[in-house]
Amino acid sequence: MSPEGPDKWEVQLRKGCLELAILASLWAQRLYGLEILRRLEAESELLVSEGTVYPLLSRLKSEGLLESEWVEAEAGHPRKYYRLTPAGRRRAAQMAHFWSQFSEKLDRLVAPLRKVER
Amino acid sequence: MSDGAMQEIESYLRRLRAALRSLSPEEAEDIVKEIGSHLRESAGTPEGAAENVAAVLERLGSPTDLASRFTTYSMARKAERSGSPWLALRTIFRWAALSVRGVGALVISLAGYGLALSFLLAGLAKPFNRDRVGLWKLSDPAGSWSLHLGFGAAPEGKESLGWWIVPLGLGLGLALLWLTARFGLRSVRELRRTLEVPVSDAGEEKDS
Repeated sequence: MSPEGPDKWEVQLRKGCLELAILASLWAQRLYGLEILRRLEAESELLVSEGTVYPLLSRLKSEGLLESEWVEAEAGHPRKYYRLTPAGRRRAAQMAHFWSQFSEKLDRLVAPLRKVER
Repeated sequence: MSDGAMQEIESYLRRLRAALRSLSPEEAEDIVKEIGSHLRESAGTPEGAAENVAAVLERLGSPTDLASRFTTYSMARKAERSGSPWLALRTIFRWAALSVRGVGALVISLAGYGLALSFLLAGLAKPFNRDRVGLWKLSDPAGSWSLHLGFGAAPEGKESLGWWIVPLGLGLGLALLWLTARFGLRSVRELRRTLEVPVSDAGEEKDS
């Protein structure tokens, strides 16, 4: 990585994976925006910010992949929870399937390079 | 939360609401409420609130930037679905504010519609203004052409199409109108696709 920051390829790769990461984070439970951000931060290398995630959630909702509901929290401010719709579950499963095949093959291809680095 | 942080949040949300006016009031309010809830929860303890809120506001980007991330995609989708050239043109206007490719699409659209209207007008106006509407070969040394719509006096030179300007003007005008509308809708589809990979992320470069 260059000292100025990640190169363009890394940025593009992260952006391309963001939709899958969000759908995957909602696979088992409903979450609200801040929780999604925290999960992505903790469990992925995606480095996303609020300015990206909220418009993306809104787009996924308008495409019928997510649905949302407002829930009053004890903290005093209501939270907007997102969950996968049936179409969203299908899409997430398709993407995960493709991702597994793709990354497995690519892993095999780059395996020799990794040995060199060590 | 400190008063200062609270005021920062309120002011940001007010500007965001104003920037979202192209959406329905319900859609806009839903977004404002969600961003507001996020900001209040991120503020955390009263001591750190000002700093935390400032950090989140920076990652959100300016209210107008954030609003256009919310609205451009849905506008492009609406234009695409309805097939309306007018909605497509309005979407391209917005796109032009976001990227160089948008500016290119806007210039081509405006030129296309402008030329189409000139041809149509020439075809329609000829019968009412026989001597001053038409295509002239000018008598200047460069031998350039000039399309006149009847405003001002007829130019120096030779009118070259005569009554043919009526069918030609109408035909070319309609064809160009159709082509430009098609171009607009294709541009909107392209814009929608580029937005499916999330647009540039203000916080991203700084975080890493």
